[in-house]
Amino acid sequence: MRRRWTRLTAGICVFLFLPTSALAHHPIEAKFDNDRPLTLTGILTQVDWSNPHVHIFMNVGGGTGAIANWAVELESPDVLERSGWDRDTLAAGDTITVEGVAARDGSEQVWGHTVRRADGGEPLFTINRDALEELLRGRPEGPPPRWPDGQLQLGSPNGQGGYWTGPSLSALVEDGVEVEMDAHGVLRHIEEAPRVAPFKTWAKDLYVLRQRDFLEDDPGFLFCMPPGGPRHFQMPFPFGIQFVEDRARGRIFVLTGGGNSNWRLIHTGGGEQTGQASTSNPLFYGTSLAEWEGDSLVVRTSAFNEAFWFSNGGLPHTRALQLTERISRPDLNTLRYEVTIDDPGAYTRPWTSTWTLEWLPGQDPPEHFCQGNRP
Amino acid sequence: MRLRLTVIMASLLLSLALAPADARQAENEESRPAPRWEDGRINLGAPLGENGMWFRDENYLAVNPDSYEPQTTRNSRIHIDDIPLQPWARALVNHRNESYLANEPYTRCLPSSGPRHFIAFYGMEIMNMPELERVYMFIRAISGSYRVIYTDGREHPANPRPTFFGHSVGHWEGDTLVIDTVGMNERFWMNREGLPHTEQLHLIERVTRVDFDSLDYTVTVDDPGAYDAPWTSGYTLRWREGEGISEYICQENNLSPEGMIVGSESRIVP
Repeated sequence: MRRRWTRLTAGICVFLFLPTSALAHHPIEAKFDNDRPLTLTGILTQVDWSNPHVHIFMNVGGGTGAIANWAVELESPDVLERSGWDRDTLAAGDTITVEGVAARDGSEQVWGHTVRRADGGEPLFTINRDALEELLRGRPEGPPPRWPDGQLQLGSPNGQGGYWTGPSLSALVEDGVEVEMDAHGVLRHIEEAPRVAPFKTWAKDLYVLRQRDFLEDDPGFLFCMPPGGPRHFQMPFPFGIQFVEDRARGRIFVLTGGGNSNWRLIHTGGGEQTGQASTSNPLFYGTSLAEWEGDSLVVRTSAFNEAFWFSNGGLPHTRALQLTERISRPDLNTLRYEVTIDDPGAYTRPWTSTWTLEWLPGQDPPEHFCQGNRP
Repeated sequence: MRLRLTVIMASLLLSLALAPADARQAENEESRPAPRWEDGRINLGAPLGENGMWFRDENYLAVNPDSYEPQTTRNSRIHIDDIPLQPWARALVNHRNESYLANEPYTRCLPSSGPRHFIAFYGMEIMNMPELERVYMFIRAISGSYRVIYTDGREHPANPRPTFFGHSVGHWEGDTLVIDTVGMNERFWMNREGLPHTEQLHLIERVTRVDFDSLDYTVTVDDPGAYDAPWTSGYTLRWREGEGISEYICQENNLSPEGMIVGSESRIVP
């Protein structure tokens, strides 16, 4: 087992190149062009302080003297608030300068990297790619917490808050395969697509199409479909997951803070999901039955529908999808998530992908409802 | 004759609605006592080895004869005329009902919190986690979401960013869970009939398992932005034995994503 872990660790060498934003909710690349930097100075007209992205609007004078109202898209309120900016920091009438990148379609929209008052001074906001790293610095370390009977605890040690975030892998990639991708699972080199997983031809073609479109058809983005399958373990910081272990009843609720603030129910006591769940009514989170094998929670999940993307990056799946997830906590601050995908509808054989998440102590994921917001 | 029958029916329903809490309890004389944990704490969920959830029992937040469907609001602890709505808020309720609840956020898959989620369709579960010093509420509708109530003695943040569920802290007064919530946004309706609120909304909710099968929910709505004085209403919820919580994702078949995320007036395009 130990040897396998080492081999897997060595296998996960996915090089992340920095995207426009490592934090964003949806692929910024689908909407904005990294190669079109833009600096705007103008008068603020409106602040729309809501998830997933704050928008501010500003009047900018054009070369011909005409004034255009630009929409500036920024990170989420939670991210901005972590940098000390709240919704009252700026007011209509303030003169500001925004640095960012322009929309692909040429419309008057910009993705803002940095915002400052036009009279100079420190930026009010600038994308901080190290925000999570700074929060994690100085965390207490130690062995994984355990219940009084010795069983591993996946959630918060007694009396402390906290959640899992910062996945080491942003999208499913078969263990041992090295590809470069960004925080949303967009490949740097599209010709590497066939290596990502043992796709059937149609699935590979669909994956490539989604990649070429910068994932713009993602139903999680367009229609707020939940991040079922392994995807809720891939949510980028500040989103993340929590485990609420209802041991008395043999249940674990996985709270997907960020991805629509859903709960997913895992039965550990031999019980089964009742009510609407059945194979004739396939689900976003599927039905999950689990048991402990030593320090690993082994979860078998099936009965998925096809209305969502089960991974960042746009890998397809079918109703035939069955997952075997092995969840463990090698130390206090590390969650190890290994998922075997068995979907004869889309893949030629079962395959496995593994990554880790970081324990962020003392806080909960921000409340986030995709459907409450603008894209 | 028909009119007379209607009057009789209406007074029957009214007396039912205005019946004191102990009379409502009396309906459940055969109910088991509320379950408890070994240490004597009240258990707001299923006893070990059982399943069950809380469901609405045709109770409503307020009687409103002018609502879109007045017949559905008869059973309530308060009449809208006794709610100190500010004129703009009353006008907004009327407008929402006259326009047949168009743009009702709940039907656009938006979460609805406070008093609304307690009577959401398909029921809810309340799970007290003393070892985490939290109470979780798992809601089947409301897009399969959850609410967390901190019972660790913490205070509200000074300037919380308004969210759908807001920031809830709770404590126990005997068997009653008392929840204090602030920091809610204005994007949900507190009931189907469109009672409005502002970001100043402050809720005090009291949750008591009266007996095995009945949960009393009493809410005091304090919102100086929309009401001239605090007011109180509530419901009795019923235990449905054997019911296990399961997935319900509203947006699965919602054909109006623009109503969920963009808004018809928006000029922002995906």
